[in-house]
Amino acid sequence: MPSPVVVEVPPRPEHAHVLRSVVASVAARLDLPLDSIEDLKIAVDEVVTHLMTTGGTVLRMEVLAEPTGIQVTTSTDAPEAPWPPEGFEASLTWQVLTGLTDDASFAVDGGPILRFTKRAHVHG
Amino acid sequence: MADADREIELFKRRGQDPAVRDELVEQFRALAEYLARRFQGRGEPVEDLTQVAMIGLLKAIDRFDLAREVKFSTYATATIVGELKRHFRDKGWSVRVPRRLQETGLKVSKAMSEVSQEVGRSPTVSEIASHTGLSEEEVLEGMETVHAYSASSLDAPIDEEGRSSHEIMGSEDETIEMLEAWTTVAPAIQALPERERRILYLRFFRGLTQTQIADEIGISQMHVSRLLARTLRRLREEVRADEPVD
Repeated sequence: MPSPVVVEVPPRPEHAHVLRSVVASVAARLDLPLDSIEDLKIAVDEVVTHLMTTGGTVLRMEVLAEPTGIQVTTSTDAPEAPWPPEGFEASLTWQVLTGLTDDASFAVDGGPILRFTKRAHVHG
Repeated sequence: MADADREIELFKRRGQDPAVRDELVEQFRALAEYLARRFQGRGEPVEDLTQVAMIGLLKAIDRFDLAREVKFSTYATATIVGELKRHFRDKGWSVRVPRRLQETGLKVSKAMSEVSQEVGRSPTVSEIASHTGLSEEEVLEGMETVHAYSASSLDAPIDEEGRSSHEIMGSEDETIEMLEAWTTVAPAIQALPERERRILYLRFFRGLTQTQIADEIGISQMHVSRLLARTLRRLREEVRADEPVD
């Protein structure tokens, strides 16, 4: 079982680029095409911007690289946040996430969680 | 009284009489509107840009020094353009990029189109690295730079990009389809420039990849990526602005 890359940053917009860079770097190592890497970066931006509105003191991102693809799990420690917010599935965040990634889901575990996967497609 | 003399007269009295200031604003309003339109199509609605340009005009009127050996229109143009550029910069769309990074960015951008032609699909970072002789880290850095780089191209008026060819325009149906599905950001989608709206449509409603969109519209994949990221950022801001504060 490969161990994930874990990054924690304060939930503020100026730290989004750190998370973007980490995901891009892991994706590059998996040899994902640039198209997918750009999609992932946009997805990270979207998710992170959304999670920042939930409050909490820490924004955590776990990136799991597997031969089949990359799985990104983002969360905050805001246990009080109503999650998912009402109408979340009609929100821009959800539309963008489901549009750009192969699989997206949300959950709660001591705070809101958003997870998405981008598969590594076989070149050809 | 000649126009120039009248202008000088107005500037001399601008501090004492608000009506004079208004008259100067009216006289140069067209200049501000013209300059605002030059920055159109970069993800900001023209009404906002016009407002920013008008602020620039007001600043120019208040600060213009008659002792300067320069025409007011020249001074105002510089002030208004400065204000518009600052507006984009404040939105996080403009970053001063060091020369080394600019060069890396250009190299990466060039290699991306060459390699994707060669392999017939979106290339990987390692392919770009071996093509350019850069390290993978440098390629990633270059990709980020290409995004930030759009800032410098703000100096070029958008009209010269020849962007209004028929292909980039979406049909009415496409817009309606998007508005129905993305109701939370419908007004913002409607306010988008044609090209940005079309890119959004092709990516999210037709499932085309950035490379395919690039082919369809006739711009580079990096450019698509940049426009897409910017458009989504703009939509996001729109959503946040509408959210109730709790």
